[in-house]
Amino acid sequence: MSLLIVIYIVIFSFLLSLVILWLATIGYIIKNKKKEKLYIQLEQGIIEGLAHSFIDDSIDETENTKKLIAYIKDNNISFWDSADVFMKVNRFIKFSNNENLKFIFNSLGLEKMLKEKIKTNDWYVKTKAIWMTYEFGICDNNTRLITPYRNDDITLIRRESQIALVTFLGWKSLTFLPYVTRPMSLWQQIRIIEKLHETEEKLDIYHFEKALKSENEIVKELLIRVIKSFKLHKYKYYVTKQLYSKNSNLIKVALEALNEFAPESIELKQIEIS
Amino acid sequence: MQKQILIINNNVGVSYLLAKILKSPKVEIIVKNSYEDVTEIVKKQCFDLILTDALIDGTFMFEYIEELRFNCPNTRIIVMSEMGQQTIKNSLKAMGMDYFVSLPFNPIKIKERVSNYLYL
Repeated sequence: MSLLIVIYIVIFSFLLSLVILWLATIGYIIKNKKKEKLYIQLEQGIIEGLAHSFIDDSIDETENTKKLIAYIKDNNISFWDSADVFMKVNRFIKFSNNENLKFIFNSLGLEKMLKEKIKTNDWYVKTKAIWMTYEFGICDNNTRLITPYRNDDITLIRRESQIALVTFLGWKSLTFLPYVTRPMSLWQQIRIIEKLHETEEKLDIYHFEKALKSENEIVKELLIRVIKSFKLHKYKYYVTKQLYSKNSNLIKVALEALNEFAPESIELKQIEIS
Repeated sequence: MQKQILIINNNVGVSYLLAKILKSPKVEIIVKNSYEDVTEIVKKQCFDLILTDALIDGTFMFEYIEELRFNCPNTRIIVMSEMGQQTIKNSLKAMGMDYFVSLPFNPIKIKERVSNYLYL
């Protein structure tokens, strides 16, 4: 074989592999576009069904719900896809309290599926399932299932479990705080306080005082923020006690809280100066 | 004559949901899902009402609302957001927003508010 033929073969192989690569890329783009288009169609189908139940009072809700369930089943919409659409709608219109939703979930087996996903070993799937559970307000028996993860070593699982517990149990959930030994971000603390504000129950002194027994300094920070946010003057002593901590951040948070309680206090001004 | 509503949201599904909620024979609904499309359409025509998400990809919140107000001085602007802090609401109002809707919202109330604004 002459050198020229070898060069031709090399050039041809190179061009062929380029063409194959282009075709594969084009195929991939077309496939993704089709998938996206199909997803939008399915999403609109589900939204159409959901929207009717809170827009059109003249149509029987059960009839609509049945139509929606049939639509999801007939189109073989996957668990995550349908759950994602429900989540999206739930962000805009809180329909998780809707009785129809429970019926939809039962019929599609979503509740059972979420329970299975919480038990899985995949941390991402587990976190997503816990998140969906509290967003959809599926409380039944799930609290017991989620509680063991309140201090999990994977941040996302721990974070979502804590929020789920506060969402489901309100003030009572704060008893989990003494069990938390791992760090907690400021954002997580804000979320917990927000969820406590959303709860309709009044402050549960018994459970709150149990939470005050926590030894974790970051949890103490959270508790000070709760005391400040809910103006719990009764627990001012707890905030004052933290001024003797060696943790400068904890002292700073405590000072901020005390400043809000009594901004003109002479003692406080003395502490701030020192 | 039909009143015109512009719905702006990056998400196609959410825009569809809002359009379904506000659908009425008395209104024409136009949906835009990107900042580029919005800037293009508001330069060409003005609407009776704009219902928009506070955060649109490709722009900053306050700058975006100011731009909408500049292009459509007589349009009612309703902004939807999960960020319901008073400081944000005040700033948005200063930029030209007429009404703020905290998410999640009540579809009946938003329908009523839109009807009031459009005298339907």
